[in-house]
Amino acid sequence: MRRSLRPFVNDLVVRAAVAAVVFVLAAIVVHVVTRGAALVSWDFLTTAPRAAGRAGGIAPVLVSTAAVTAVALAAALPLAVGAAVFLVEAVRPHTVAARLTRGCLGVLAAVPSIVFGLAGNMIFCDWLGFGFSILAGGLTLALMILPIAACVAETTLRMHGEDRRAGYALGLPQRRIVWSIMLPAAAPGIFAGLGLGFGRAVAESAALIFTSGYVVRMPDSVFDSGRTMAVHILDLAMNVPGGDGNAFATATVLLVSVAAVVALFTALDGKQGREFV
Amino acid sequence: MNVQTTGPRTIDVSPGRVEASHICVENLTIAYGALTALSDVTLSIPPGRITALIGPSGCGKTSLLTCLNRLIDLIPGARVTGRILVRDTDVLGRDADLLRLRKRVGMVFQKPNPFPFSIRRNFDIVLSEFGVRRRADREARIDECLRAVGLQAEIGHRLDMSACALSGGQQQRLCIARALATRPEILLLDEPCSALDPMSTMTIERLLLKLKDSITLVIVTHNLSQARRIADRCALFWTRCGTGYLLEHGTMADLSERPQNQVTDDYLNGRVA
Repeated sequence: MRRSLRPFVNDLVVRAAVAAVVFVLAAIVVHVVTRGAALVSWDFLTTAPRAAGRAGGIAPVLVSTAAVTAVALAAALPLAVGAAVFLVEAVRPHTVAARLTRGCLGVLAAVPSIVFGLAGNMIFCDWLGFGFSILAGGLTLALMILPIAACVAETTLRMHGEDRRAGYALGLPQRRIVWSIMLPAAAPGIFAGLGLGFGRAVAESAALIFTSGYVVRMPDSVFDSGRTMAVHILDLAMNVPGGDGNAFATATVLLVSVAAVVALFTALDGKQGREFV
Repeated sequence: MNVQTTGPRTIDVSPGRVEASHICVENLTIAYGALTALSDVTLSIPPGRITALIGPSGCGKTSLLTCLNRLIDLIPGARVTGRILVRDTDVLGRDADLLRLRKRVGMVFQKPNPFPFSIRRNFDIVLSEFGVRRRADREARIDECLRAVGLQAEIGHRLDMSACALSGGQQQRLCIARALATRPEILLLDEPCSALDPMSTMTIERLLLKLKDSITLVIVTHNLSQARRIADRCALFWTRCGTGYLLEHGTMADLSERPQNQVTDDYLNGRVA
């Protein structure tokens, strides 16, 4: 290729890639919102479904979704941070323990969600006796979130390697460096990783059908079964003739929720990083 | 500022008087995996002086510096042989108390690295760890450290602002002040002015000249003019087949006016890179 054409072609490829990404997102959002936004109202958000979801709202579904994701994030946070601190502080990079931990996280990331659902059903519903419950669903999702959350947490902790070195140079013990310097410094990045995990958790359906179930009543506790928004959308779209309208309305609420949470975590992440004025 | 040091001030600091050394390095060799970075260095560093470590990039100056407080332990694959004594403490000994050693031997890095918290928190983390629990005592120590680096007037009234919002020069002085908070007897400085403008460099050089009355300073620098301006003693490192070694050391005047090696003469006069 002629040298003078290269910058032009490079620029074109980059712009085309950006346009493709924006187009796909915009197409999904427009397709969903134009069909669903008109049906979203205060009543839709605060009333229970009627006629198998064709009519009424999604109040118990919203509560179940919030509960399942809260359990998932609460369980994933300590596990992800623990794994990241272990990889950064406790083991040398190329030891068997480090490789094994990274390998396990990599395999977890590649496991299909339906397999997580079956494993979650076996471990949490049967072995641990939680039954079909929000707790079982949340813990299953926690395992799904874990690889990405741990990976982001490790990367963020490594970004603060200079703070770590400064801490050791001051004669501070490891526990003080981890608890007082690295984790507070890396907190925005760690929460950004959880934000990505939230996106996956809140959109998950396959793993939850086998673990948290799909009854639409308002859950009494985390030991009660519950239906999340993604499962609700799946059920309306696949099993309920005439449920398309509420499926799109629920999808609109789901998209707005995900966008709001991702924006919140991104704003938090933007606050990290040092400024050299 | 009140910095606790234990050694006498008026002593013979000639190279032959090992007993007068604050830091005594004997037959030190540093390797990273199969690569020997520094070979067989023997050097004594006197108390209450500024000793400059100079030489081209890759000759092992920073590696030597990080051995003096065992920060080299953080680098996977690093191996160190030989002996380093800080007063009577065997730095490389198996049972060396690293936390106590690093409290005694502070370090300031090339790039300013304040913790990304408030100025006050930068000190509080250190002071609370070292037993300064009462708030009033911590405030007094912060004030003392900021005064020592000339920052009290500039930032003493805004301790709750982010340390990362300070200018580069202020950040570096803050890092020096934070290192002084542990009341070290030795301060290691790894090219502390290389990222700073000339005004900030001058401020830090004045600060180092003031600090040497109470602390032994060891500075790695590529700036020969800076070494001439502030250093009492100088050690020139060179490389042979990719391995660093100590070419010559002595007072700054000795190396500048009566060098024992042609390379030293050429390097200090800018005739070789």
